[in-house]
Amino acid sequence: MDLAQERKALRKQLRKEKTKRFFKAMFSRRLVILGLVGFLFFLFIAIFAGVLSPYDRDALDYSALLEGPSAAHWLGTDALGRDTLTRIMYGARVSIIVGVVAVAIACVVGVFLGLCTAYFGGWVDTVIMRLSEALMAVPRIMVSMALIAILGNSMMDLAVILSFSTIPMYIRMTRAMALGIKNTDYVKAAQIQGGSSLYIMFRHVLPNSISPIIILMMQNVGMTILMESGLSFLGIGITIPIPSWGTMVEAGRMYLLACPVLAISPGACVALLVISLNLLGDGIRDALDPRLRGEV
Amino acid sequence: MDEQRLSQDELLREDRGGTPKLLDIENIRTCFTAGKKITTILDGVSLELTRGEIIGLVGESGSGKSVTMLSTLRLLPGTGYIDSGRIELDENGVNLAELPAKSPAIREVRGGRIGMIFQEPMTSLNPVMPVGEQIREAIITHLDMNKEESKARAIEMMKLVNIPDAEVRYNEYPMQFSGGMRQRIVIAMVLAAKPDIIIADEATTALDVTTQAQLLEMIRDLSVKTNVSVIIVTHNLGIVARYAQRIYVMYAGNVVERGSADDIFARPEHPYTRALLRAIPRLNDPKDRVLIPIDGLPPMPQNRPAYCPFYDRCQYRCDRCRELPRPDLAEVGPGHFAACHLSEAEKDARQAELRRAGLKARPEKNLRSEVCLEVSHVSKRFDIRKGLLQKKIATLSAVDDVSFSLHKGETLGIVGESGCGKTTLARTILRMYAPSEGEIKLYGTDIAHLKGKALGEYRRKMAMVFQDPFSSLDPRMTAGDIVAEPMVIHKTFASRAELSERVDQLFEMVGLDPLLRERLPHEFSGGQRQRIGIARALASEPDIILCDEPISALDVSIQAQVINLLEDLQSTMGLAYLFIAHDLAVVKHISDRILVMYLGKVMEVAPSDEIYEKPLHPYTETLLSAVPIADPAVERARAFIGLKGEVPSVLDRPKGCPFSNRCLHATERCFAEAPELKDCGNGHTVACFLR
Repeated sequence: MDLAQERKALRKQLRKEKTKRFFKAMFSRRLVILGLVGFLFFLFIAIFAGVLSPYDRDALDYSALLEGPSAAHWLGTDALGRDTLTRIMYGARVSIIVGVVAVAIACVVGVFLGLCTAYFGGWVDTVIMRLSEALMAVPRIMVSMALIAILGNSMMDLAVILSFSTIPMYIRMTRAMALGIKNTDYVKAAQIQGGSSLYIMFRHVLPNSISPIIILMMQNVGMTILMESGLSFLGIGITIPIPSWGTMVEAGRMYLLACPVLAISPGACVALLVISLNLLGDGIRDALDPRLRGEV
Repeated sequence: MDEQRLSQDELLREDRGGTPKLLDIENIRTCFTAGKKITTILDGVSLELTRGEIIGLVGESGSGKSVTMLSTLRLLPGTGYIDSGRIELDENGVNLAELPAKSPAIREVRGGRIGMIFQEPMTSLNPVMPVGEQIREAIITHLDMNKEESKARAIEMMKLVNIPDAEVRYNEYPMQFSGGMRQRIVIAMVLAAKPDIIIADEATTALDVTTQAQLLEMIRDLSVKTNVSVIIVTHNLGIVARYAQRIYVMYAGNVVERGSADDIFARPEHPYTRALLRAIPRLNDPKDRVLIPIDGLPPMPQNRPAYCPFYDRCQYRCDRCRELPRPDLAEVGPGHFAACHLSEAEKDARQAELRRAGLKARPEKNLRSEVCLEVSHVSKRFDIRKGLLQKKIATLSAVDDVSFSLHKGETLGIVGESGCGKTTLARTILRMYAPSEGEIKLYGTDIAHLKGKALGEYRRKMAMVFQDPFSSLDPRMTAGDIVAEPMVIHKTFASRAELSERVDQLFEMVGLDPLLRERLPHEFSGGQRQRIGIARALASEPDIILCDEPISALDVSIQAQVINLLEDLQSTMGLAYLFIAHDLAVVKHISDRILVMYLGKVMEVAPSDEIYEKPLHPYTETLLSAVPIADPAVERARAFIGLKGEVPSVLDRPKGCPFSNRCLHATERCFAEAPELKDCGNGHTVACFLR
């Protein structure tokens, strides 16, 4: 029993060391901390929008239309007298949910298909790769517009639609990684022992190809948020009355001279969130990529 | 200009009445910086070389032999620098160690005076430049020649290194040459600039034994012909025994012993040299030879002790060694130096003591008559397809009609050069592929075409140990999980506690501390990783273990540890091994019988002593003669039996006997029909018409 306990303690210690190393590598660049703080800030706002926001999401205040920043309305009001700060807080919720859900769907589907193409090869590879190439040949915004026309544009619809066009990226990335790992001796060792394809795929191939996929995911969240804002700005994304940063910029566009804060503040939020996410992504890449870890 | 240099040398020689040192390295210290830390890699290495001499620099990886050479050429990477010391050519008073690494004087030395041949011929040649042009580039950099002259010289050089059709091949690219031919091109390139010294840094390590012998013979001939000096840097003691006149033995950044090849092998003085010689198997070993591994690992450069760096692994050590600073080289005989504090008498006394303590006998073999694996007429062919419709353009027959049987508790060695099909054969037996033809009988059941669950039962009976201890362990799994994997796959345990206990047992069986279970593979040394690989192979309680070059990636001092472990395990568990390797000495040491393959066919099968004493097949004979034995006294009586050309591709295997186009004894019949294996008695079978 002694040995088992000793082992347990050792395991715990090793895990602690590993986590420590990870965070040390991740935060070896100061900007990454800024990225994390930025992201956590928006995440906090999104989660507690209901509690934090000074007004109700759709509350109209006809006594204050298109006002600039004031004590009552920190970021002013829009043409219907709705509080901009409140709507930005709810908008954060939309952006983050759409971004994260879209990336999660794309990642799960793409990684699975990518593993299949690499592991089974042959016609599976040909069919999936040709389809994904066809999808990549069409501009992302066109794919999204076409799908919105078919599926609709609720928040979850948008998440699914936006994920759809990024799936090929995950397939290709996973396939490239997995093809290398498929030929390593440890995969052969498992095959010789009679390990099933699924076992090998998820026990050996996936864990060893996951790092670049996580990095890609981090970058994609920002990209997807931008995409969602873009679609909303064009009027085919999130629709009124749900507040989205894209629609808010679009609405503020008409009053750009009269009331610039109306368009600038949600636009700035998009930019800040995307920058934060990218910085955070860089940090995670440093922490996960052993080659970079050695240099840092 | 070159002649001038030569005449100057002659003058010097007359002046001093002795041969001047062509290269004189004195006490160089080379350091590397990592951040603020400074690590001393070479700590006072001295080396000298006279004209026309061939010297050997031997040592394990990390001993500093390559860094010594890179320091001499001032080619140290990034953060490395020479801290102190003197490097002089021709005793001309110019200290190369003090000149800036990019100065014209150094550039003239590099390539012009000293040429270097690296291990990997593919990376030392530019893949997008015709080879002839690359040789010409070396010529115009160092010699004053115009275009025609330099081209003529390049072709002359290619002929010198025995490249057939040199004029035609001048315009070909490196990828159109085989590994051995590429290395010849590199040698031609080095020779083209008329250097005085050639450094061959593990130049033949990546090549097959026969190619290796061909190249080294050629280098020796060239050295005699052109009076060029050669420094052979290698970990292979056999090579230096055969080719070098003097030897430097390096350990942990120091030269620990130097002397003539005869002295080093016949009268090794440093405990490290003695230990090395006891750890390596030789082709001419008696049957009961026991390898004595060197325990432990060499110290890492950053934590080398202030005392003798070999102390921790030394069998002769005494307290004095630990208290005194690191020993310097001291003369122990004429021209023979060793860096050891102990006196002759002390060493003799200790040796006698060690001898009295007795050697551990070789583990007993328990060979049984029961046949566990029978391979009969197995062939494996791969279709080569091309184009949009994947049209079959050719068939590559990697393994062709191979038959053999393996008894319980037996070790069958499979030798052959790269591309001979030994790995394909192994994988076919393990059913990574289904054979195209033939039967693979495991205890009487043909598993050649079994599938799914039925096959799974038999998979447990066979396991494999891989060559590369780095890529054969999943870097993301802990050592314990890796060892447990076969049991997880086969579900051979009742509870997690039982599994855990079994993993502990396996760790102990291969000589690893079970506490290391939680570590990841990269935290282990090469030898330890190979032990993990062996533990994994044992996990499913197999009867047959296929060892595919299990020790060729390890250092010599570690190899013996792994060989002994494999032998011990065989003795206690009655395992049968299929031992694939290209190092014939190792194969002969561990195997009961040896099977020689060439281009996918079996050439000869015989008991291991018999195959060494009287090989019947001309190919076996050549192969054996190509392997140098680490003993100059024996080497003088041996010679490499040359052979024609190079190993052809399996795709154009000769029609008759596969060896016919390279065989020195081939007759017309050999070209027309392929010989069958025939029994010559004593368990010796051979596929040759001449026997």
